[in-house]
Amino acid sequence: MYDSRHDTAVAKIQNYLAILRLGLRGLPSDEVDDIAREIRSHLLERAGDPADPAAAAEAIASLGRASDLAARYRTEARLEEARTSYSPVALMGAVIQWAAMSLIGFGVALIGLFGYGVGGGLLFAAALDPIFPDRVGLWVGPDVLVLGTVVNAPEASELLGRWITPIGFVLGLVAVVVTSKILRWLIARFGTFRSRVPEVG
Amino acid sequence: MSRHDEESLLRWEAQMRKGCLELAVLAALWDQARYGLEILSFLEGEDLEVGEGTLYPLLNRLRRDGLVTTDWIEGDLGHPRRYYELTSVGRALARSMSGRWRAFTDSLRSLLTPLMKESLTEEKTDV
Repeated sequence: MYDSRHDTAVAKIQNYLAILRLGLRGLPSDEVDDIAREIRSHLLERAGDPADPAAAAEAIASLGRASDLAARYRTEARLEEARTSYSPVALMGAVIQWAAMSLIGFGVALIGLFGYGVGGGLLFAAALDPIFPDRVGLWVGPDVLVLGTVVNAPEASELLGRWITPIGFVLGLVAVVVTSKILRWLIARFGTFRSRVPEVG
Repeated sequence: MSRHDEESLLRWEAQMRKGCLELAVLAALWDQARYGLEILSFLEGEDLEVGEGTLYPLLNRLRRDGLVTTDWIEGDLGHPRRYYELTSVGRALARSMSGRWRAFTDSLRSLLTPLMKESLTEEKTDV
């Protein structure tokens, strides 16, 4: 005969699954359903028959926080997609999530931020120059070496002139593409739980 | 052993286990299809405890990679269990991984022989 303790246990489990599903948003819906069904089955089996609230709580504790579990599922999925994607958004999205989970991921995120930052800055300068030619450039003088966008032009001669836009555009694109390639390589090399042939040294 | 050393040791062990986890899970499915809890208790029986929160995402990835297929089978308690079975690709990979693992541990074993001798005598005098 199932009593309120059973209901309490089941409610705990339902609550856990709701948070898990929330964390799995973005994955294909049938995959999410399968994951939720499997975790539900795992927790119910651990909770006993009739379900015991203490056993359910212990089972949940062993599984870890629902948001962490969801993050682990998603990291695997995202890294897989990122391996075949060139989109900076997809790559950085995967890398940022990876950064939250490991030190290597954090380092990779920094590389990505730096590379895309440089690329973005160059593209920004390239776009800005036709509009504010006095505020973008490469100024070289006796006490001055400035490359970038400024509010007030320094007291020095500006060297690039109208070449800023094409140069900035090309270099910016190169920086973005190179960063993407580097991130993809790092993800493929370090970013999975797949055990590799252990390397000594 | 100092507490700091103990922590370093535990960290290294965790990394080592993590690296072997995939092979251990594939091996657990070698003789028969199993579902999550079965895999956990099977590995526990072999002194290879796996974190429950680690196993399920790993199984999901193995499925995505085509190394295992899954099947829902009704359990006695009325809720379905997800059984995992190796695919032929999964079996082939498990064999290869196992071969490399054995080759590696054989090399390591001969490398570690002098260490093992020394550490045995040290343990006798260790406080």
